[in-house]
Amino acid sequence: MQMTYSDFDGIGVVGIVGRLDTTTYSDLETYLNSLYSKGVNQLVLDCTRMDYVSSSGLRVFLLALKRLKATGGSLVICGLQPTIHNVFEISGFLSIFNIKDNCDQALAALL
Amino acid sequence: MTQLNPLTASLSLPADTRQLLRLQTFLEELSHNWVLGDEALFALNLALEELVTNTIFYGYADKLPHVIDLDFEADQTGTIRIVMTDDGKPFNLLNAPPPDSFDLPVEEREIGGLGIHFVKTLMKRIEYQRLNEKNILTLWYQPGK
Repeated sequence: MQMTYSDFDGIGVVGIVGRLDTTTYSDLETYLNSLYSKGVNQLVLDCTRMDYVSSSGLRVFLLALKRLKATGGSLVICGLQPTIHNVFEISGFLSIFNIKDNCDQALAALL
Repeated sequence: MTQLNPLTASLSLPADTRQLLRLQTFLEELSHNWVLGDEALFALNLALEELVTNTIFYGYADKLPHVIDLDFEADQTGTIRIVMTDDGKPFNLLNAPPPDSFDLPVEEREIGGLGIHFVKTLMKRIEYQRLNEKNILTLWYQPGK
């Protein structure tokens, strides 16, 4: 798994590339924690190039949402591939996350 | 160790999360040989990562090295039977509690139980046996289910 980062007018966009699983989730968790400590509380997780996720990875998404909600921030997830969308559906995550088709829509939801 | 042919395949995986990449590589090879398609590969990856990880994290009472055996067999209808054998503590996932209610607010949602829920959702049929101090879990996966 690799990550990309862009700042759009104070909104942090983290792109997740590759597999978010038991062997990689802690890299994302550590990175997000470093962003929170720098004051980022408007976050987009861009999953356009994320091609696999397991419950270890979903846990990081859930923790991010809890953390941002607790501090008055917000989280939008975008670009879920069909198989990943299916995992979100099985998890009951479609109703608790703000999910957009693409990055532009995700940014528009936060601006 | 790793043996692939058109009908059966097997993997002996040391019970260590640092070996999970081997499972992934093995499944990609299996998928290639059996022409499984992306959806089936994804489902097998997800179900087996959850099961193997669960066993590694919670399955053993000691710190000794352990091995998890995975045996795959495809029948003529395309159904894949997977037998997972480990020498961990008795654990019947069929008796595991369901994940947190989907109606709970996000503040109260926990991730526990989700991996097993994936396995139950993705697999067509599951059987559990405790035999000779081993957990023997048999899973049937039907591509395109």
